[in-house]
Amino acid sequence: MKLLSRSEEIILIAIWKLKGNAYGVTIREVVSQLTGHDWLFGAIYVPLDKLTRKEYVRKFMSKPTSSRGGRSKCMYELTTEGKNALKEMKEIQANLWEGISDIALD
Amino acid sequence: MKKTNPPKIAEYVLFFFLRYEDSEHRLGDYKESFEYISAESNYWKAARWYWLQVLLSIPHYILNIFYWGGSMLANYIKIALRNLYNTKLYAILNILGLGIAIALGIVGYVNYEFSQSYDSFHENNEHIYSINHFKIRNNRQVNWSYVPMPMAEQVKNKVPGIKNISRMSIGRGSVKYGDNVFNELFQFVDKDFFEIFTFPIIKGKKDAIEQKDGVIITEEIAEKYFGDENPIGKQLLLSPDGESNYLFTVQGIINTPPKNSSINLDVIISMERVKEIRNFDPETWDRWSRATFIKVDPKASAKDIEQRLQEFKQITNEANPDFLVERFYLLPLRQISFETSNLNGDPFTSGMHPAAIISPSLMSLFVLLLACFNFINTAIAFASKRLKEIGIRKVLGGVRSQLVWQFLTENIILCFLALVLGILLAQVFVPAYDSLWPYTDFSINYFENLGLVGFLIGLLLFTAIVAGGYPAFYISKFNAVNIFAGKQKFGGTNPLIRVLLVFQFAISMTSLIGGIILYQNSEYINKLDHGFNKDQILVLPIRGENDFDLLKSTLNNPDVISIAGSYSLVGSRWNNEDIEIDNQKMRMAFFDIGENYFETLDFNLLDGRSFNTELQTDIKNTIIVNETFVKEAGWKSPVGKYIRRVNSEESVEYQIIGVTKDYHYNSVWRKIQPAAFTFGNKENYRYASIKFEVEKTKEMSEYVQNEWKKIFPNIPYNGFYQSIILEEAARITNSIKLVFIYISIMVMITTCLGLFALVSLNIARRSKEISIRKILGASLANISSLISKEFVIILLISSILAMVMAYFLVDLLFSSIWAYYVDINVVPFVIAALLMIVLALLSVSSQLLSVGKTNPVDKLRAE
Repeated sequence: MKLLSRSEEIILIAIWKLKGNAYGVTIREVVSQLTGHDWLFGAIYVPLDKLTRKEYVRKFMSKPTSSRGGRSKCMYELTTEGKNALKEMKEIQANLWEGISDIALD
Repeated sequence: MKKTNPPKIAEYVLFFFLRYEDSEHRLGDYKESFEYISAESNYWKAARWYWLQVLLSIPHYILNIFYWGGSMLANYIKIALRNLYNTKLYAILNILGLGIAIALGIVGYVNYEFSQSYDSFHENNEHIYSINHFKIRNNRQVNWSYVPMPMAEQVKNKVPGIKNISRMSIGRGSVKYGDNVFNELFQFVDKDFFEIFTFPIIKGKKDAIEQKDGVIITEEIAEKYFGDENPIGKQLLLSPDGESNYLFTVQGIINTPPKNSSINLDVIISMERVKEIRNFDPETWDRWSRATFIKVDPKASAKDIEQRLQEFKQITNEANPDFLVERFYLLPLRQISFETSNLNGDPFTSGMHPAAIISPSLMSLFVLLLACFNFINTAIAFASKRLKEIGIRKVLGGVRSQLVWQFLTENIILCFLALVLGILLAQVFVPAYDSLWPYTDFSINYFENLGLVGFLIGLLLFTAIVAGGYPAFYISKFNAVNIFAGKQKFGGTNPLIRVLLVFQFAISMTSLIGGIILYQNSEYINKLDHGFNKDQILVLPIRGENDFDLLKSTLNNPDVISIAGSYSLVGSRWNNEDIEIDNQKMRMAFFDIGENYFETLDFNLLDGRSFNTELQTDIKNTIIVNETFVKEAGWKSPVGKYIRRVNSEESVEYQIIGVTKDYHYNSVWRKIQPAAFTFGNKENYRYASIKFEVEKTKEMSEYVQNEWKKIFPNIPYNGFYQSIILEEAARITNSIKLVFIYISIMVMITTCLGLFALVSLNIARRSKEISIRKILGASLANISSLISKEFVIILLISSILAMVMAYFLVDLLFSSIWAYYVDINVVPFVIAALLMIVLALLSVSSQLLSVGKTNPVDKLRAE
C-alpha cells in the first residue's frame, strides 16, 4: 500500500462520508468539522491532487450550476483501491489503539 | 444591487496560481463559499475571507506547481531548443549581441569595483584614519596632509581611543648594491606602522622595523637589486644626497603594495633614523610629517578624537606663523583615494580619475540596455512568425499560462547562453581594458562578487520576461479562429518596438558621435601647440652649480645645440604663490629658471625681453609673465610694472621685463593660470635641459648616458625627454578614445543586427502582399520604399534625438575631463548620421535583394 499522509487520510475519509456529494466546498466543510479548525482550500486541493494521482480518488465533472457563477463542479469519489486503502487504514488504526482506550479514560 | 462577485484582483491572483485544467471548478468552489458567507453575514466579511484564503493558499499552490511542473518543464525546454535550432541565425545574432554587451557590462562593473576598492585590503581599514589639516587661504579651504612631527607622540599619550599611531616621512636618494645603482624613495615610519596596516612581512624578522640599521623592502625592490639571491642580511648603501652614505642591512621583505593601495612603499626605514639621514630635528614643531596615520579603538568616536586634536593647534601655529593651521581633521582610510586631488603634501598615490570611473560604467550600462532592447525587439518580432503555432496550440487545448511558460523558457535559455558567452568574452575584455590604463590591476572573481552575479541574472531575467512575456500575454488573447482566418495581425512593428527602436538608434548614434569627437580630440591633443619646444629636449636631474658646470664642459658635441639650467621644470615642477598687484591678491605659478632655459625651450616672447645673464639685477628682481596674467590683471602695457610676491619668507618685488605667449605647463587637464618665470641662482639648479638635433635622438641619449656614467659613476642616470611629461595626457586621451570607438562599433553592430532581423521578419510577414505587388508590376524600388519607409522615419527621429543628446553629453564629458579640448563642430554629426544611414540601408537592402530574386509564384503557391 502506498502510505498516506495525515491530510490525505482525513480527506479520503471525508470523501467517503460525503457519498457522491464530494466536491471542494463540501470536502472543506466536513474536514473542518472533523478536525475542529478551518481549512484553507489550498490545503485541501494539494492532497486531493496527490490522491488523484495515486488513483485512490477519481474525479468527474458535474453540469454547470447557476449558483457558482456558471461554473461547473468537480466531483470526487473513491475508487476500489481507495476504499481498500481506507479499510486497511482503519485496521492499522485499530491495531495501534488496541488496549489504549482504557488508559485514556482514566 | 447587491454585490455578489468576489474581488476581481484576488480572483486573478488565484487564477495565476491554479493549473488551467483545474481553474474553473476550483474558482467555482471559492465562489460558492464566498456567496455562502456573503449571504450569512455581509459582502465585506466575505471579501476579507476570500483574500485571506487566496493569499494563505499561495504557498500550497507553489508546492503543487513543483509537484506537477517537472514534466511540463522538460517539455518546454524540448520545444524551446527545437525552436532555437530552427531559427539558428537569429538565435546566434541575439546571443552574440547580448553576450558582447554582458562582457562590456562586466568590464564596467569591474572597473567601478576597483575604483571603490582602494585600501580595502587592510584588515582594520574602517578604523584607520589619516590626520590632516586645512588652512583658509583667500577664503578657500586648502587641505594638507602635514602634521607636526612631535605631535604624534603627544596625541598617543593624551587623546583616548587611539590604539596606534605612525608618522611617515618620505625622502629620496640613490641606493647601491654591487653594480646596481638606482634612485629610490625612502619611507621613514614608526614601528606602529605595521600594527596599523596589513603589509605582512613575508621574509625576515617580524620586528624588522625596530632594527635601527635595518631596512624593509618590497618584493619589487628586492628583485631589482638581488634578482634570485636571498635578500635577507644583504647590505645596501643608501645615499640621500649623493655625498653622505649609510649602510643598511635588509631585515624584512613585504609584498609590493597592490595598485589599489594609496600608500606607496619602496624602502622602509625606522623613523629614528630620519634625523641624521634627512638632516632635521623631528622634535621641533616646525618640522612636518608627510602623513600621520592612526588606528582607533572600534568603540571610540572619531568625532571626539578630532575634537581633541584641536588642542595642538596653538602650539603648532606658534611654531609656524607663516603656515597657520585652521583645523586638524581625520580622513578615513577608505576615503583617501577620492580625496587625493584635493590634498596637498602629496603623500599618497592618487585614486582613479572620476571620468575614468563614471564614463565606462555609464557606457557599459548603456550598451547593456541597448542589447536588452534589441533582444526584446527581435523576440517580439519573432513571435509574429509563430502565430500559426500559437493558433494550433490553442485549438489543441493549450492555455495562456502554458504559452507564457513556453515563451519564457525560450528566452531564458537564450539569455543564459548569452550570459555564458559574456562571461567567456569578459575573460578577454577585462585584461584588454586593464592594459589601457597605467593605474589599474583588475581581477574578476565571480564568487566574491555576488552583487555582479545578482545584477546580471536579474537583468537577464528581466529581459527574458519582457521579451517573452509581452508576446505571450498579448498573443494568447487572440482567438484561434481569427489567427487561421488571417484576420489577426501582429508583429512587424508595433508601438513598443518603435519606441525601443528609436532609443536603440539614438543611443548607438550618440556613442558613434562621441567616438568620432574623441578621435578628433585625440588628434587635437597630440598636435596641440604647447607654447614651447617639447620634442628635442633631454632633461637630466642634477644637484646644483657644480654638476651643471661639469655637464656643460663635458658635453662637447656638435649635435648638442644648447644646455640650460633651472630649478623648476615646465610640466612637472613649480611653486604656486600669492602675489599682489594694485592691492589685489592673485595666485601665480612661479618657474624659477636659469641661464638659457628660456631660449632652449623656445618660449614665445610677445613683448619686452628675456633674461640677460650679464645683468646682476635680472637675478631675483625681474620677471617674465604670461598672457593669462596680463589678461587677469587687466594691464595694457605690463612691461616695466611691478608685482609683489607675498608668500615666501620675505616679500619680494619684481619688475616685469617681458610677456610670453601662453604655454601649457600643466598638460591639458587644467586651465592655464597666471604664470611667470623668475631668474634663479646657479646653485639652485635641479635640472639640466639639453637641446639636440631631432634626427639624432637615439645617438644623443646613448651619448649623454655614457658621459654621465663617466663623470657621475655613483649616481644613477635618470634622464628623460621633456615630451614624456606631457605624454600621459596624450596616452589617457588615446585610451578613452579607443574605449569609445570599440564601444560604438559594438553598438552599431548590435543595432544593425537588430534592424536586419526586424526587416527580414517584416518581409516574411508581408511576403504574400509583396508577391502580389510584384506580379502586378511593382518595381524593387516601390517595394523598398514600402518596407523601409517606416524605418526611415524612425531613423530620422532618433537621429535628431541623438544629435541633441550627443551635443550635451559630449560637452559634459569633455569639460569634466579636459580643460582644453577640440571644438565641437558639425563634422562628427554629419559623419555619424551618414554612417548610420548607410549601415541601416545596407541591412535593409540585403534583405530586399533577396525579395527581388525570389519568384513571386513560389511564395504564393506555398499554401
